[in-house]
Amino acid sequence: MQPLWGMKHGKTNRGIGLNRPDSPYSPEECEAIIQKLELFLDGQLTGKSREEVEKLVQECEYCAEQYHFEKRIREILRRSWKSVSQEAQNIVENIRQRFRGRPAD
Amino acid sequence: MSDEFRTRGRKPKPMPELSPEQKLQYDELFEREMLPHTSSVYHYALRLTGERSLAQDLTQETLFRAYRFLYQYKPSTNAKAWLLRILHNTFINHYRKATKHPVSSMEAYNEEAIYNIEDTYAYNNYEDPVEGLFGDEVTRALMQLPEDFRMLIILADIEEFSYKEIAQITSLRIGTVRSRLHRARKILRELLADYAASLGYETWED
Repeated sequence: MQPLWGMKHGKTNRGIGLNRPDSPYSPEECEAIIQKLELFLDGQLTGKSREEVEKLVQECEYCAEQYHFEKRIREILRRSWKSVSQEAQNIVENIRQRFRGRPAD
Repeated sequence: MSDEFRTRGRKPKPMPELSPEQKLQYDELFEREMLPHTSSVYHYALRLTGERSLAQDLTQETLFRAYRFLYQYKPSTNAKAWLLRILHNTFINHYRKATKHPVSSMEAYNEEAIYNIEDTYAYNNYEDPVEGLFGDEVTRALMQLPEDFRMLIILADIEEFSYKEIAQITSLRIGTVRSRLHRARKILRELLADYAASLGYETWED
């Protein structure tokens, strides 16, 4: 079966980290590890399953690369969220002013 | 589902009659717990709609509704999640219907449909030449995701809500949140492959 992420939008399939052709894991195993990495980064894992992922990231270079890229995307998204433009700040402040005091009037 | 999230599925009670003193407390509660999140609401709206004026309308509408239904909110619980749930419902019910993507509501999906999503979705050709809203490549890729995926990425990666909170905000089951997030990230990874290569990550293609 074609991996689920075989989205077709004019490009060939491309991958980072785990899904590389020389990865020691089968596509199914990669899929499972990536899913675990996501759960790990989302703070959804505890105890043993958490330790398992930590170990993978330390011991497998493909897992580590995947992990760092996932982490990086999240960091960039968060940063861009925080760099609020002056214009956006003004809009937010205007709306806030409108609702301050007696919003229903 | 906890009480503070129950704003739908039943007819809302009319806003209670308030004495002047109660009204003052009501207004204070709104100002103290809701207004500080205006910025989050606006930015979520901006990324949902991709348009400043729509985002502004959506933010105001959300705050109006939040004020109207504030008596249903339990003070000092998760105000931001409560607001985003209102925003989410407002967006689904009143805004998306009028947009160019004729996508059925989130509730209409089943698990199976998620994996056939290519058939039902097109990528947004989000180019944003005029507005210049989103400067970086990652955010532009985010804006290309179908809305149902995009909102989950925003809630999980940017707002850092737990899966449980995301489920409450979006009315999705936790399992659906998890599987759809996974799917969303796959698309994002693919959209960002060139970017990854430019950062020095080794990429491959077949």
